[in-house]
Amino acid sequence: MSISSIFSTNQKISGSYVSLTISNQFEELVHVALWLEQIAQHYKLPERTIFKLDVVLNEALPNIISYAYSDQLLHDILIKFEDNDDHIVLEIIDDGIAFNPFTIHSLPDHVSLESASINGRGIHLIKSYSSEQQYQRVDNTNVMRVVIHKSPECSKEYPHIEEGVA
Amino acid sequence: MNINSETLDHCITKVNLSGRMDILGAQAIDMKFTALTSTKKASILVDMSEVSFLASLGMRTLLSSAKALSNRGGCLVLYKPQANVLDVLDTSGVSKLIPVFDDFEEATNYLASHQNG
Repeated sequence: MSISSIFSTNQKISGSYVSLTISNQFEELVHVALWLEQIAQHYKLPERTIFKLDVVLNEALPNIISYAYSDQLLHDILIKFEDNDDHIVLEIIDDGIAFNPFTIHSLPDHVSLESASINGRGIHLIKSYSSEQQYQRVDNTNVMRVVIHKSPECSKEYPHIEEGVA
Repeated sequence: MNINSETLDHCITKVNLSGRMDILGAQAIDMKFTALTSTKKASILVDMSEVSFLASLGMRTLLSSAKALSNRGGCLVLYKPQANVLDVLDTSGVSKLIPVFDDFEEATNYLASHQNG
């Protein structure tokens, strides 16, 4: 992992962002978990927002590590987090083969355990736990961008989860 | 992630999971979980109360064993998932495929009745 960028806050016109670069190895996800903890503390994110971010990262990154590369070489995956008043923006940039995850159709309704697939829920979860999703192919890189609102709706849907200050 | 098991009345196996069931967690328990749930016609109660996070790779572990058990006439239920874990189970549709119980007696009664049925 290149941690040089971790928590070196850069100023952007739209707000501040932090970034983390990992290599395409599952063991690197440990560093992502640590990074997420630091972000959560630093930005005082609501519990529900941390959870959504956790889900999106843990669905997107293993997909990239598993399927994006046709060679056995090490590749960098850049993760950018931007904090705004009422929402956060997460960008994941990889130089793997072109793939737009958001063209995947929604999860089919399964009527029985026997007919259900054991795979294919990751993209559905990313869509479910983010408010906006975008994909671009830029300079031979996949750029996945999702917006997660700091969720006041949580108090309606999940009264048992206490939200922090939004 | 940790896994251990105990045997309850009615030959029900209670599998206790704890930790984050993300890809690394699922990899850590996958073989032992599959071994514990691979008995023919087994009745398995998976205690999820100490699982703090569930990703789709973790659900794959649960679904894979539940499907295999169902094909052999066995049954697997989930017990007492935490709020966020239940939310993921609901959002992904898995809670429609694997019975989820918040009450221990209801869970064991369901498994016992499934053995008789």
